[in-house]
Amino acid sequence: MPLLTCITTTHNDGALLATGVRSVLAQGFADFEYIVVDDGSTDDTADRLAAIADPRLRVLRQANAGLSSARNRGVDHARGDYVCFLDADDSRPDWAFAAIARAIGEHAPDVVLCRGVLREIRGEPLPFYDSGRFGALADLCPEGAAGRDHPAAARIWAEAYGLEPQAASKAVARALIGTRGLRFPDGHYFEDVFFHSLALAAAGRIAFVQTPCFTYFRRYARPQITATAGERRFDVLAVMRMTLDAFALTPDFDDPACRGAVLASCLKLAEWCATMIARPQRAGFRALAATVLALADPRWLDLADTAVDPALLDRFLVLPGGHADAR
Amino acid sequence: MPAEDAPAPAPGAAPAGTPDAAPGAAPAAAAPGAAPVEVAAFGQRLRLAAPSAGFILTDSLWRLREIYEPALAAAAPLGAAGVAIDIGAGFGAFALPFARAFPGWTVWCFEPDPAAFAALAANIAGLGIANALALNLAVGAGAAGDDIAAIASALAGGDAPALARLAPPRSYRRPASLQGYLEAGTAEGEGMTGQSFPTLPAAALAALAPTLVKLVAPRSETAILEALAEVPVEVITGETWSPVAAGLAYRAAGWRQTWLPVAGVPALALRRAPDPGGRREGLDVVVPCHNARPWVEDCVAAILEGADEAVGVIVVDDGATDGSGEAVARRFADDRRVRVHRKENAGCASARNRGRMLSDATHIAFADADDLPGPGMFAGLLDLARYTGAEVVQAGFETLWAEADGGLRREPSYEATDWAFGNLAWTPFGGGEMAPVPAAVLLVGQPTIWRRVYRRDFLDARAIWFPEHIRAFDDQLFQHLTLYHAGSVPMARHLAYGYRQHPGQDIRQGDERAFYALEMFRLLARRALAEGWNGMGPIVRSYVNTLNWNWANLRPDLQAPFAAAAAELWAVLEGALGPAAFAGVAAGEVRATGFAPALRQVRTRLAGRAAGEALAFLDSCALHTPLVRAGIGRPPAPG
Repeated sequence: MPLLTCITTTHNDGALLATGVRSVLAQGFADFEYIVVDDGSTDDTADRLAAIADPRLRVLRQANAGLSSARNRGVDHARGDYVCFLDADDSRPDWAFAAIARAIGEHAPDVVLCRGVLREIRGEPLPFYDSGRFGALADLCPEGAAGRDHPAAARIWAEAYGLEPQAASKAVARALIGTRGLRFPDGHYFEDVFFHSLALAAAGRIAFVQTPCFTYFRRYARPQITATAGERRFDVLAVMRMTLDAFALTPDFDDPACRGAVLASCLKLAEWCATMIARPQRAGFRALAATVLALADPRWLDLADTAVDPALLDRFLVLPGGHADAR
Repeated sequence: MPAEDAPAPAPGAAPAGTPDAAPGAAPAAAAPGAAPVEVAAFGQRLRLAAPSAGFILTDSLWRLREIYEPALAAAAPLGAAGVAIDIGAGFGAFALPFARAFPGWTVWCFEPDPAAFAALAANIAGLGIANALALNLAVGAGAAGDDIAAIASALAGGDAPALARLAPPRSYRRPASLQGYLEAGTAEGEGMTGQSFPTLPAAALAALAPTLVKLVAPRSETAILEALAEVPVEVITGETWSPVAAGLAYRAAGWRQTWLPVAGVPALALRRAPDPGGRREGLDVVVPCHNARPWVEDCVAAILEGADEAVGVIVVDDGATDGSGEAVARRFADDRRVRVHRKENAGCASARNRGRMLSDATHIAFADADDLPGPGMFAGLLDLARYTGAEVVQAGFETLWAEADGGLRREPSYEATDWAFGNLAWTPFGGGEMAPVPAAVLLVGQPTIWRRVYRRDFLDARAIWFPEHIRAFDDQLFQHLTLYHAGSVPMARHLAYGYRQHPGQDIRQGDERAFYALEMFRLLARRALAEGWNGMGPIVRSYVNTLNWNWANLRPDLQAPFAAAAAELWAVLEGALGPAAFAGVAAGEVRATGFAPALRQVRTRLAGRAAGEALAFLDSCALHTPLVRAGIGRPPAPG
């Protein structure tokens, strides 16, 4: 069995598929398998995949069912000790798997979390959004990994919950996925925060890789699925609901800093969606967001510290009245 | 900002030959005055001897994390084998982790400063990095008399003693105010220290066949990139200390992914990356042309002035009857950059869209056939686009008035004296100055879509087209959509578009075409609501300006229906966009006679309906120019 399984899902990515695939197959570290799940592509994706002759590549096909379902399909077929994900139009630097494998070899973690790179829409390659938090983690945890018995474990976990939930940033022990039944929320986008929060809640040991191991491309040629003004934005609220409910049953929920970080992650995403969704949908979006909090365990709002900006929280607790633009 | 990896030696330090490499086990033995430091990059962690100047060390590590790692990650895959050259290698903060992470590559390090070089050589020896070679040389411009063949041969053989002998000494200087900074040139005046270092003429680098270049060589950047023009380098990163010509990244051999920020100027970085759409890297300027024979040839010639092969012109002859298309075709028959496309007449919007459909370029612009872009304007804007990656970049503009003697009188635009422009952070660029202009400043100004260059992938992804049935004011919709989504627009103020004023202009006729402006704003409101815009204020401000501009010379028989339609649309926008959009605007600013009573009336009718955003779907015959012209849906005039 290989050390790593990398899973890429694709839906009509066309020529852009080569971005992810080339970068994975060019990795300097060799002990991995690569699963590409073709999520019902109707373009030439199947032909493009068939043209790649590499024994490490396995292609799975399914009728179009969405990103989460396709990733879950890949996980079901994974054979590696650790599973990681890469979107078709993103890439990994040549050194990524070697760096992840070294962290695994040195620390035997349940979850590896890596820095990344953001290739901005105007072409700037930049440290990923959560570079500052990785800096804080390097200070909290100079040895590069922490278990639950680490003297700063609570702060380390809280920082880790606050990292960008981005699927490409992590490798998760397959044993952990199997025993905990970790999955992406089928049928939904904005899926990463669910997986990220539950994987860290289940992890007994986390390793941090302070070198970038993925590049997330923003581009006009293929706008992010989540970057529209359409109804898909409501998915974020469904995923938020599922995340709040599931996380409330984990031990880390008892820690105010951890649950504050998870709530802050959810609210940040939801607020972004609330300001991007089409204007006629806004009042309904705000109302549903307030409903999600009303349905959640009351302790979610029992926040001991300043993990969540009170002004942000207010925008979710106060039901909209009047014209959405007035808010 | 001081150069990375170029630490200050003791004053008067003599250039060294090949210093003693300090043999020994890792961690590297420190050279004199050097302290070990941990350097982590590309998945490697090394302990390196580093010169003691704290700032330079911090700066090197910052650059590694903020520039080099992201640039190489975004350029992946680099592949298992290649040749990297590191110009200004310092103590090896970039080259040595790179060499470790890419064992199949050869890494050539050039460092002129003796102290930094001593640390570099010690680090290579101490860590036993066999695929890194260090030379105590600067790299810079060549000169007549350089024996390039002999130097290249010594270089390819890694013959350091021969290179030390053959490489000509060149002048460098250090401003006392910038710790550790070293640049090419002779020292002049107070506070400048001169030094001489043996310098590899950049032309010799071709002998190494580099595929990756890391460049930190203040004031030698242009010479080095020019010398590499014929070498198929695949990746270039580093920093430059002033903007180099963008063509050095785009006209050169090979596919060169480039990320070269200008030190200390966050707005500018020369960048090049594969276009996933496979488009030609360049600019097509679409020139819609309907009976513009007196001007169109001058317009095309002005677009091409100062431009290379990257700039093309697509003249769309929109059913002209004065032979203007043929005239352009004849005049530019020998210039492959000029294309003429003939089509049936369907208006300016249709011609602009057609030209765009014919273009295969990454960037596009729309110039009017009767206008006169300033010399080098479009070539300069393409450079600005390549330095900012911006969705939209722009020049300034001026109005041109025909004089009785056949000459042209030029008047600067209102922007020249507008404090909002004067207060921007202008920075040197392309022989003039540039600054990013917030879209909000431009959204309420005059529609000036013709002095801009657009990214094609941006226009396509946002589905921004000219509405073809709108035969005047189509550029207003385009202006709002492009500026809102771009957010900020880099502007080169030394470049200017000449907007010719003459009596034949469509929008000065005062006829039914004024009603196109109304329909245009309804379409804009629908788009803005569906796309979830935040901040509709500029739409309303622009609506007021447009109403007043049209009112000023509207035909008398159209004034009453125009005021009534404008009032209904005002009320519709109030309901659909919401009160925040109207915060800075009063209905009293609309100068049309009859507007105020009409608005009162329609507000009364709408009161209590609360249709909200759905009101933007309400349409009216009174907003459609062809219907207005035909009198369809217009109640008979009283009496």
